[in-house]
Amino acid sequence: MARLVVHLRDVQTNAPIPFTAVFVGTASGISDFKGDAVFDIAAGSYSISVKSPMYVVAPGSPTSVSVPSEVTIQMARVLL
Amino acid sequence: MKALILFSLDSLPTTITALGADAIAKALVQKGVEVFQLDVWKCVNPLFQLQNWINKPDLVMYLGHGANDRLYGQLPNGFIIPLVEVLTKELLRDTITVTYACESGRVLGPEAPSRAYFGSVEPYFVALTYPSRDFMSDFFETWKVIPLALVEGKTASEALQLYVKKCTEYINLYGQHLADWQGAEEFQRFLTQNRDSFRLFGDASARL
Repeated sequence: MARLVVHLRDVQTNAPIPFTAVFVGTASGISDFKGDAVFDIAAGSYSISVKSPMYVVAPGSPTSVSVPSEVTIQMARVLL
Repeated sequence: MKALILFSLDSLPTTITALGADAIAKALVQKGVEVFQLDVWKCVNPLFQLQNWINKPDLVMYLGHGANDRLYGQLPNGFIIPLVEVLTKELLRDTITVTYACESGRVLGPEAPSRAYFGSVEPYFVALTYPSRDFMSDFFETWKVIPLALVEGKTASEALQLYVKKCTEYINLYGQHLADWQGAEEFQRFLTQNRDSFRLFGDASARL
């Protein structure tokens, strides 16, 4: 097993985005109150996506990750 | 015909609505409409009142943050005195009011003395531009539909139907590109909410 740490951050404020679903390959997790989601999965390359009711992944953020690694996903608020 | 476009600029989403407001203003000017703008720091209640006294508009458009009983206008000012709320709803009297904001259709919309009031009863979304698709411009196109339809003489009800139709076109288009357009799934969902939660209050047969 290898570790992947995903940091979810607001692209405007850099604030952590907690309690948001993160999908890495077929694995899924929820970011904690610090905006971090941790995955212990087999080393390799995976697609990554984030589902939020008020944010989208900002253009330019990675859509795939290598494990083990640590990655920051910038999220853009799209809710008025 | 006079249109007043009110928009704030205080966050990422309102940066996008500001661009949308500009696109709407340009489209209205091309149609020969006299357009006034109260933008950014001018998007506040006292200046809205002043504008009404000096030159009352036929069409009021607002793009920015909202809540069930209010349109905030520029923040943080709008947290103290909202641009318009239930208590100051008379500002909207006899206008056709179009709002692209969260939730103002819940309370303000039904209570507004507008001839017709368009607003969302749920959170309302903006979109971004990705390398694979300019979703932001697509959303702007949906926002132009109602004011342009009204300017062309259509009724409020007909304008709403055209808005729904335009949203549906993009929703279907995004559905065909879920695999190859980053963000297609999210913006399909958000635009579906923008379509399904958008309501018309007041006189459905109102025309400008």
